[in-house]
Amino acid sequence: MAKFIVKRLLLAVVILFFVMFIIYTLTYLIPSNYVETTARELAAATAKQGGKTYQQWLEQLNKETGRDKGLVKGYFTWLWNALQGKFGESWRWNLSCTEKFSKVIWNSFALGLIAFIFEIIIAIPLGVVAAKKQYSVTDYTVTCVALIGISLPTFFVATVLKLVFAIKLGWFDIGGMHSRDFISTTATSWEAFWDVAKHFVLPAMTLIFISIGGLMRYTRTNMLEVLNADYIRTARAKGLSERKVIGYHAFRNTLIPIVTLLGGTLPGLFSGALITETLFSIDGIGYVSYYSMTTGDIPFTMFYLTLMSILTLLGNIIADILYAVVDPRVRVN
Amino acid sequence: MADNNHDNLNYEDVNIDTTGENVNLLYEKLKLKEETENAAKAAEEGDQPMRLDDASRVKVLSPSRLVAKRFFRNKLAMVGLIILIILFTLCFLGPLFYPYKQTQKFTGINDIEREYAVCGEPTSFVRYFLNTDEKDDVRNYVDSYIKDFEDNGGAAIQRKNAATGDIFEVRKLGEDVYVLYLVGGKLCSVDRFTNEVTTGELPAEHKSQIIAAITNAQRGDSKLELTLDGHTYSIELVSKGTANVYSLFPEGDPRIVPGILASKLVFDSHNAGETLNEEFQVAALTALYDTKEFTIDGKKYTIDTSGEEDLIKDEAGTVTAGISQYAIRSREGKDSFDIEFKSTLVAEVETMIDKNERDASFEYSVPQLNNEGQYDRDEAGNIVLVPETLNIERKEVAGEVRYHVSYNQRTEVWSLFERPSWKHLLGTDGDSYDVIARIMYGGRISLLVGFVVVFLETILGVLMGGLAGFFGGWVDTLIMRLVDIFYCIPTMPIMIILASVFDQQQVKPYIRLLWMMVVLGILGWSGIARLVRGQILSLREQEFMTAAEATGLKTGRRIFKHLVPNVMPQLIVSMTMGLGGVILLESTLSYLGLGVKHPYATWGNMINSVSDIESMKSYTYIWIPVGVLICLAVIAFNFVGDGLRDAFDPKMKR
Repeated sequence: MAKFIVKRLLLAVVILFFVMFIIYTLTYLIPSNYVETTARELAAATAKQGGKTYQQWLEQLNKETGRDKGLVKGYFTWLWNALQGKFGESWRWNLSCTEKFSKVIWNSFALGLIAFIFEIIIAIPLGVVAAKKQYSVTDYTVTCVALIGISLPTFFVATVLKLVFAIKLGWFDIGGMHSRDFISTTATSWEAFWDVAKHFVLPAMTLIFISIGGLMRYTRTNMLEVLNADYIRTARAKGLSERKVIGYHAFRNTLIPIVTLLGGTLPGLFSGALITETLFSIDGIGYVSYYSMTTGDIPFTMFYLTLMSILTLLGNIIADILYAVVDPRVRVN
Repeated sequence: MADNNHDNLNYEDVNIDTTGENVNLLYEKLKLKEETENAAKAAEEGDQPMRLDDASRVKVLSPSRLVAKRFFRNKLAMVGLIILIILFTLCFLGPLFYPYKQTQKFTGINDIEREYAVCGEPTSFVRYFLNTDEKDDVRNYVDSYIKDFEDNGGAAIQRKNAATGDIFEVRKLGEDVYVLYLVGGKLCSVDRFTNEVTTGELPAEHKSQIIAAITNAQRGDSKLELTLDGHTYSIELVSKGTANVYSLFPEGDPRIVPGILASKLVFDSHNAGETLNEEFQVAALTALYDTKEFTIDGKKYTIDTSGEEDLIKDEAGTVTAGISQYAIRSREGKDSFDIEFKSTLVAEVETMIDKNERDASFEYSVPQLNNEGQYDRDEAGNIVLVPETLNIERKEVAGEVRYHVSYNQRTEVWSLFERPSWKHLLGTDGDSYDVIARIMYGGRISLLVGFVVVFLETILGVLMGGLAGFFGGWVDTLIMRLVDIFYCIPTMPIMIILASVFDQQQVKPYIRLLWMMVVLGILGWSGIARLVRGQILSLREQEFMTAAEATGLKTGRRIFKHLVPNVMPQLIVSMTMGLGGVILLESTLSYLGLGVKHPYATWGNMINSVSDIESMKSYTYIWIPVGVLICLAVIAFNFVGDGLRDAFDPKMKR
């Protein structure tokens, strides 16, 4: 087992090396006048405080991103810095990338976790019920709702929710993290928490609605497979109550693939929700990196993409390991 | 599943060694025997009931027909298929029959209170240049001279134009009419403080004489005369300033000639729109304060000043023009109104002044569009006038009083965000395009992007997956690591970065669209490659592949003719499901303003155009149908994909 994990981790490192090389190449190919524009803007913004000139900024930006050294050498420079945790100063947020990340990540994580928990609470029981009463009205309803959830674009769900709950009913704000009348200096920590929590409702609903369908369908398919298995027939033949058959024998076996799937998505909690956070202006990693990417903040973009790649690889490894751990029939090699 | 195609061997490649006609003869004899036996059997069974296991009882279907049958039995898949057919008809055939194009702008008729005419007393003088080379100048010295003249209490004054050196004497002819006489003579200036004398045009050798004469003049002995070179000059102070300017008039020269005629009176021709020429106006103005008669181009005119308004009549006594204090111009500043309207308006304005009112209104017949946005015309082609209530409003800007005449004019306006109507079933959008036309063309692009991207992905995926699965070994390892790498690259962020670079470089929308499809294809092939490889790994060990190898087929042929067709079922399913995914991705990108751009419509950017809070609230009839269409398209592809999977592989079914 340990050997397997080490092997997978080493492989992941190799993959990551090449992924980052491709991404670095992409940002390297960004036309140079893009960097020049950024340097000009930075020079103009800091001119009043007696900051650096355009030329100095340009040199610094090129140096930071390794653009002055050529593609391969530049990449290794960047990689060396990144390995030491130095992702550079973000061009847009005037903070180092890691500092900005640590400031916003917990918003993303909280939002992701809420959505994740609710997704499990709602999707798995519904999937089980749908499988139990296959071809019933419940089954068709669940399947249809799941499919609609999968098929709806995030922005449409978000817009509808905003229209209904924020505009028509006026229960929530349309976006942002704090209410207009929220004063951070006078609010108690409970009030602050409550204020943020209120603003998390709509984005969490959006996330839940679009992700619930996949898990529901997955649960249903697996449950059906298990229900057709011989040991379920045996359990029934033994005269066990239906509740025990479903809840104990069938459900526990259904959990094998589900746990694997969910385990694989755990690292994703740290990657933020790019679109949803942007649509609701939630100050999380997705929102921040969206604006970094659209405004050409190369250091932060590189940081975010590195993070995303690591999380994806980690998710795969976790899923593989869990697969072996949860199901003893699977041999690791 | 894939065993449908196991017998897919190419018989033309298998060379069966036959030994000539003997075999054929034998074959024919056997066939004949079989036929007679069959006929006998059939006659024997004719009156017997058919046995249960009789082969003719079981209808044998080809594998593909079986798949089709299973597919068409699936209700959800059929729903999806019908939705897709409707969507495709709408998007690809709809535009052919729909009357509107995607970038056709629409206009509507709206009543807008618009200005029709402006009436006001001219604030600056109209200048007529008579015996002078002076030109109309932005620096309106004439008005300032006249102001000086009025400030001076009406006594004749003289002013020197510093730019040209001309001296003018201002005199008043009548109310708002002045003449600036050009004063002749030679000039000489004396600095008031240093007593420096500049002799100008005068001969410099007589400087001392001139100074003496001027000193006398300054002392107050008016009308001083000076004799130089046998000419007698009279000296007059013409302008005061840091240097006093004196004019020396030679004896016998005309002292003054009319230089500029300045007037605030307005000539209104009785032929609407006709402008009376300058010559005519000068003659009329001169005559007005003189004989009241003048001749222009051999025609004699008289001015009748008996009425409220001065009228110019020709020999026959018909009124050709009026002289008025008010200038009445159209909104564009043109003198296009007939005399009747002008006199009506002047009368109204004068009543307003008398009553000291700010607003007034009166009835008058004016041009008005009909409901089709056209002017009604009579037989002669003239616009039929419609009686309307005209509002006059007094406005004072920077001391200038003007009377603005306006009425509710039917106006052609862009139909922005028009509500749904029979003309536009879903209304119009913020560019005054028809929403349904946009939906059709937008759907076309969304679906096309989906197809192109999925085909690109599939071609790449099949190629790479096929090679990896078939060759195994280091090829497999290499390609699968490549798959791992591409699987790891996050698509959305890459697309966002790409789009922001395109934005910054201002790439044309069409080029962007192509790039977007290519990049999406390159980023998305890894899943298909994995699927193809997995299938091929298990398939290549089967007997039919050994057979294919034994017949000596080339590798390429074995992979793409024998292995890949067996992967087709899974491929088709994953392509169908992939289509929905790509449509979602494209619409999200376009929604964020990073995908397909104006003027091309896609479902995503249509929703984007009404995404701010106000539009979202007011224009639900635009974005909800579009969102539902996106959802329907994706659901339909998923349904069909599900249905196809079940049909291809009944074992997996539930």
